[in-house]
Amino acid sequence: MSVPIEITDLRVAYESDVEILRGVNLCAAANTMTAIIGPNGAGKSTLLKGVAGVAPVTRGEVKLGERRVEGLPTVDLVKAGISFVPQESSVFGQMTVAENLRLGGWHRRSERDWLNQRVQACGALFESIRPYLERKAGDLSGGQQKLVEIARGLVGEPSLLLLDEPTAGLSPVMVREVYRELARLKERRSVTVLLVEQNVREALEVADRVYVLAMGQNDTEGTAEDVSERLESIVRNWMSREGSGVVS
Amino acid sequence: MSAGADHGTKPMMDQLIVQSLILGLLQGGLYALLAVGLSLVFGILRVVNFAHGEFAMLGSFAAVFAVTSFGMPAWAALIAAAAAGALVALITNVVVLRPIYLSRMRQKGEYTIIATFMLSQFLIAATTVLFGTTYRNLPGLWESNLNFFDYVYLSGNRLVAFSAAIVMIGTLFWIVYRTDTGRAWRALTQSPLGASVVGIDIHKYANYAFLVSGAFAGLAAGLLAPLMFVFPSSGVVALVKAFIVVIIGGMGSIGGALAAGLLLGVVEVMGTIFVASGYTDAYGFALMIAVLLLRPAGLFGKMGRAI
Repeated sequence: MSVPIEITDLRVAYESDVEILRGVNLCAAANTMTAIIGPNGAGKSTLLKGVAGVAPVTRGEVKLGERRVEGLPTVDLVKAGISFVPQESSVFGQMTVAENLRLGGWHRRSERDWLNQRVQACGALFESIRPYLERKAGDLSGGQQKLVEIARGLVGEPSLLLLDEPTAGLSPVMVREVYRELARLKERRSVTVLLVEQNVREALEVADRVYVLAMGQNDTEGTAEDVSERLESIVRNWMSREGSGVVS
Repeated sequence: MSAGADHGTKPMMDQLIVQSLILGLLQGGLYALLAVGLSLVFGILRVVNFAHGEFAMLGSFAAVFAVTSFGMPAWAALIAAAAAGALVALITNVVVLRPIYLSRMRQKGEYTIIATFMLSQFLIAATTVLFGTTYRNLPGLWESNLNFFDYVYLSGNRLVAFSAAIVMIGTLFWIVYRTDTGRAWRALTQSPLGASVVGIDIHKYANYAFLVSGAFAGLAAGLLAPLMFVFPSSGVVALVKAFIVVIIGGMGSIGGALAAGLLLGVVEVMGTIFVASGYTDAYGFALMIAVLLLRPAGLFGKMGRAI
């Protein structure tokens, strides 16, 4: 079951003196797709990592439905229904694609029938990996590995899906496959999605709402249509800024 | 040399080669058992554990005291050795290493090296203060010399030690490839980030890895105790052997540790018998240097990192 997410004044610092995220606010209704865009170093990926529990949150709140989840270990966040597909490669290269997918349902591994069915269903999502379920994931191309990670992120039937630049480094065919699946997810309205993307125009096409970050803070926000219309001025604004958003 | 002498020398030489080969393999099985835990922990946590030898040393002390102070049989002493090694390893992970993983400091890997090295020195010093520097010995499970067809002669204790080592490493393979714990370990080895995002409890499985690592080191030391002496700095020798094995086999590879352990045992025994008897340790170092020069990732190369 999908849930809303509310992020209030979220701060993340990898080391005590280097704050990457400096009080970000975001609100996404259940079953919606929210795109997060911004220039390099804006803190987009760090925001998802903070929510997913793989970057240290130093202050602020993350509410998943009615439950506060900031600072929980990733094990509990996954059990709470959060699935994170990081930008960095996180595939298990020496395992088969099917084994990778099976690990996507790790928190419900005792429910074997359910897990088998989910592995089958998610293994069939992308044409580019469907024939290779028994092949070692490390032998696939970088793009195919990314699709394996996205499919793995869906195995556990998450209520909140965090996608960090899912199309980075993918071929145009694979980008279309990813966006076709995102469109399907949106149509089914079964999961809340936070999507960080560099392919801004494609992201705007599937998103309901858009947040723009710059220098570790909120810059602007609006519906996808609204941000599409203002996109040129928003980008011009990015270009005029200096620095990467890292404050020391 | 006459033809008759040649006829007599060749079978003797064949026998010596077979005898040394078997002795080397038996010794190598124990080296593999010592090293496999070190390799497992490195593969899963990227921790180079300099206190691994002390897990072995404390295991062998536990075995000695189980027999000498509590009158336990030799087989129970081995269980005591494994339990002591496992307990110390678990405490090391929870008390010394976990605070480093959880901290936000840079260069955590370097801090784990320093922390485990200091722990190793502390454990040696504490053992010396508590138990003195006396060399101790332990009775074995099979105190007899075996004669196979008047051709190969072996110590029963060596045979028991080797068999136990192979059974334990076989069990570890089964755990790694057939159980959820093994799947979690393999996932952590191949992608710590991936393991984290699918919800694998890193701390829990790190504890399991340290438990197994310590138990194997303790058991190996308990099995070696009837063949060698037990003293506070005996762990240093164990650590050096384990490092050589892990470097030769490929860091993080269980299969590599097994193959490299056997190879190290054979090279040491063969070198001692056929080259010169005073340089047993040097043959191992020479082999390690050769591997580092020719295959820096170890004999099992990249593949081996997947445990």
